Amino acid sequence: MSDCPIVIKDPLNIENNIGKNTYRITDIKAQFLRAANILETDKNEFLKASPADLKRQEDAIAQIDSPVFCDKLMFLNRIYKKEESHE
Amino acid sequence: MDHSLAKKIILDLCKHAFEDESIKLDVFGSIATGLALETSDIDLVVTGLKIEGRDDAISHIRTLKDHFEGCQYFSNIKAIEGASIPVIKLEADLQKLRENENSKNTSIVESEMRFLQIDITFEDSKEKKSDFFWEGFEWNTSKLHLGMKSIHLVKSYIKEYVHLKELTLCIKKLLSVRDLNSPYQGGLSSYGVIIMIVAYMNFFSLQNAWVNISQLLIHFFDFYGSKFEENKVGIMINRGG
Repeated sequence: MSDCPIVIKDPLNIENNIGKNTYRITDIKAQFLRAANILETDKNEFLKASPADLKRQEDAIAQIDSPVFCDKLMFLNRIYKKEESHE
Repeated sequence: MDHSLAKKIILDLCKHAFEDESIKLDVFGSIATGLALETSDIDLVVTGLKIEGRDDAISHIRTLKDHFEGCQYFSNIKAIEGASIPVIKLEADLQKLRENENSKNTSIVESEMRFLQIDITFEDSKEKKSDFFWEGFEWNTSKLHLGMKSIHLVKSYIKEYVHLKELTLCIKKLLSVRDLNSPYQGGLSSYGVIIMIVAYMNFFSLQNAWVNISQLLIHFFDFYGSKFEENKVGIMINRGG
């Protein structure tokens, strides 16, 4: 087991390690950490932002070309909106 | 639409290949659990054929591969006989499908969506899958297709764990954008992602708590991104450790 990059036990078969081929776990962790930092920063910025800032942000989002980046920001926006509506 | 059209063609092709009308084709994997991204592949399982051992499955795969090669819609056909469950991987050309099969939708398929990845496996017909199985029937006695088992498991997790679905989709998207979602290339499977989330939620007793979903996501990333030491601890659902 110690040879495996990561151990993720399959609840359906305890002998099965789902992570046995996940040798890029370091990359994955780095991506997770990066995502955590981005989201945390965005969240803090959002909490500080005034409605006028938000409008400007939305306009900025619309101008960014990369569909992936755009997707991500839209997703964030949606999450925050959801959050607001719960409060 | 496209998916069901592709599925129908594959089913016809299977029936033709094995000269057996009783063959059935089921969808499993992320499409069946509702956790598919728009770029997700579809996982199909063929039932109705007699499979007594590995050799049967391999011979079925070879037969089917030959038939797929004769069909204009499919390309990149690979039979992976060495996997724990022998599988055929192929790509369906949705553009050709739409053009030639009198599809109502004749618009152009976006280029990155044009080729639909399909995995096909086989399951023995005697091992009937039952909707009751989750309640304990046939639990250890049957060698049920693991993919089918995991659908039931994942669906029950989705019911049980608030926000699991949203978290999974978001993390899958991140991994897919970074090309880290294929276990064949050192990445993490979506099943693995779900296990990680469930273990994480168990560990912090978050399964029923009314928690803020974005905070949950940030905390998940932070936990696995920096606090988690994969060379010291493993991930297991029961104890969440």
